[in-house]
Amino acid sequence: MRLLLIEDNAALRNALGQYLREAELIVDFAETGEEGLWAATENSYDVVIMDLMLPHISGMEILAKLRERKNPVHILVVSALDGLDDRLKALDAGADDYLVKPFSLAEALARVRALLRRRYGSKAPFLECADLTLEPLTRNVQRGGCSIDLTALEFRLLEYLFHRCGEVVSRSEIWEKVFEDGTGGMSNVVDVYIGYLRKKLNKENAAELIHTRRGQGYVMESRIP
Amino acid sequence: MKRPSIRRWLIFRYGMSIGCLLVAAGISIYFTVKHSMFTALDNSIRQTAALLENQVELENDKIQFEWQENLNVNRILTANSLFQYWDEQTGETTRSPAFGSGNLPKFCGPDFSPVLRDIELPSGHQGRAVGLRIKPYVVAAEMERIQQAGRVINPRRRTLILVVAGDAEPIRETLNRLRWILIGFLFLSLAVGFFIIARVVRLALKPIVHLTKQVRNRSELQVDHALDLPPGLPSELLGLTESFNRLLGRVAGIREREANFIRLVAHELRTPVAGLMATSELALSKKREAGDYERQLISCHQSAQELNELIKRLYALAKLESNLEPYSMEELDLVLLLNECLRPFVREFADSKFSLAAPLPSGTSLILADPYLVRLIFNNLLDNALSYTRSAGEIAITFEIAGDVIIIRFSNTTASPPDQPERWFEPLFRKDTSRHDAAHHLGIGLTLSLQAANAMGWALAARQTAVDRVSFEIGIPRKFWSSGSREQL
Repeated sequence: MRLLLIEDNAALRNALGQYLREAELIVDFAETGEEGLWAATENSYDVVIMDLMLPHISGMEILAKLRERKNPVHILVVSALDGLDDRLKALDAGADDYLVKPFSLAEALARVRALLRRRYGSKAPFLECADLTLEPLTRNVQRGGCSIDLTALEFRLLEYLFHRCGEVVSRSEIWEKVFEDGTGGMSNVVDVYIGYLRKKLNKENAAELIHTRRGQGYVMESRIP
Repeated sequence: MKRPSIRRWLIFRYGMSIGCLLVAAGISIYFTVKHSMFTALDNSIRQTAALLENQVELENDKIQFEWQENLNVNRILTANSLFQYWDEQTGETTRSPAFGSGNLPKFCGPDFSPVLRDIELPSGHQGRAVGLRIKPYVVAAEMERIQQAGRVINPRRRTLILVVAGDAEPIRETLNRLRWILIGFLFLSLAVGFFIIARVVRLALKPIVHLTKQVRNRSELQVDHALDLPPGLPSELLGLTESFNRLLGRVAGIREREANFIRLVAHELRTPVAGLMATSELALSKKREAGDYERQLISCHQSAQELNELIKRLYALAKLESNLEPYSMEELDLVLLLNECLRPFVREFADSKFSLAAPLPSGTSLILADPYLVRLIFNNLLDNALSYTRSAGEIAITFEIAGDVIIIRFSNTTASPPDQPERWFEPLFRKDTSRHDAAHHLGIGLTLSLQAANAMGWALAARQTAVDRVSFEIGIPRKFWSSGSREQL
């Protein structure tokens, strides 16, 4: 899951960014409104977290411009402005959620997760496909009751495939959303990590869940033989 | 003490005015009627006197009165009239038949002219009387007979005094009735007048009552809302209400600025607090390497410093605004102090490739001021120039004497300065809405400088002197100059 964090306060930006990264989310940073708007327009993010009072272009302007351009990204506003007016204005302008500073990082993460669930049309706090389950909060992955040990990148890849369960996901989409340097040039690293994941999930002759669609990408689904 | 009341004042004044007018009108009516009635009476007795004068004849050396000849006209004439003749030759007197045995006062005017007087009638009534000397009429045959007898009788010497009186009692009774009617009418008019005036005044004051209600019924949240101006509001109140609304508008502006200030202060305080909280929460979220903790502690320290600086500045602002700390005016060398403040900035200006032109006067220029506040102003203006001068721009500091004021001008070139220079002194005002449009700037420096200047009785103003140049001018009035400063400057 790729997030954009637009925040001009370095301490908050660094702390929140690191916390989200430690929760296996990919976070890009922007310090000014101008940078933030450019990044949100040029890349595809699952969630944008942004302050309202930003240098050069305010958060409200970014909101208005993104919605004007029909950008469907989910936006979480984090602001020190706690007035009802400020909150209503931001939500009416197209924000999906509003968090008043100072806030708990855990709450910010929970809200981001809620936005991610909404983004991918899921309501349950855990993800399920056949006998495979994934709990984002505890980062626990089980198949047939047995825990599977995954690296951070493999976990992110699996979580993304879970969110897109039943859909064909292209390599470039995976590259963008799962890999840290996903904004750069893509290599065959996606296929390599899909291979690693398959190996860990398909122990003891379990049914294949990640299927290859030649020329299109991958799809995660349980196929009844 | 009872407060003056417009209502009472209007009712009393209008009532008194109407009362006075009514009294004057009543008096004039009374005297006009009295005068006309007495004039009519006087005319009546004069006419009677004229008729009776012509009814006296000299016949056989005797005075004959025609009215005694029982002619119908005479009867009418004599029936109700009161008159009396006195023969001045014989002393005989003749009274009218309507008259009893009493006498009228005997009087007459000089020669044969009549004279009018108020008299008391024998009946005891008041009356009016005309008295005149008359001469009898001598018919032609009698004159011839007298001439034949060779006697010389001059009728002019055979005179009588005639007094004709009229009873004034009916007039007095009529006037008495008229007086009471007028007094009654006066009181009734006053009562009705007061009632009508009270109603009219109440109606006239209704808009004031309406506005008072509007003001009284305001909730705390509506204190600065403009008053409604109903279409029928009188012009006298319209001006007052519009002025009041303008005042409320200013109050609303101040409240809005205060609310904005509080909102911005909350924002300014919350942001470093959010940084502190987030960093500490991150540090505590799991076991970390020592290097991680060190980085997070550095971040917390920076946020705390930022917070401390903000609180220090806000406190300084609050102190200056509420005069909590007395400032001390002492003699100081203005140029020396400016040089001291400028020194640390010179290197920074050079590092930023700004050109500095500061032709400061040589020698000492003593003024009376608080050195702490003067330093605060100079440092803030220099810091402002450092932060907002555009790349490879110019900074100039000049001294000038304009009349009775020393002007120290700090000007610099800047890219697109914000509009409304007077707003630059507002607390937390920034060109950009964000917190970091000029690195470490908190948006309070200029506010502090203005407060400091005002506290010492100086002036501080900002102007945009060209499209890309702004200027801050400090004005120091003559009363703060020490002797010799002018020559030095």
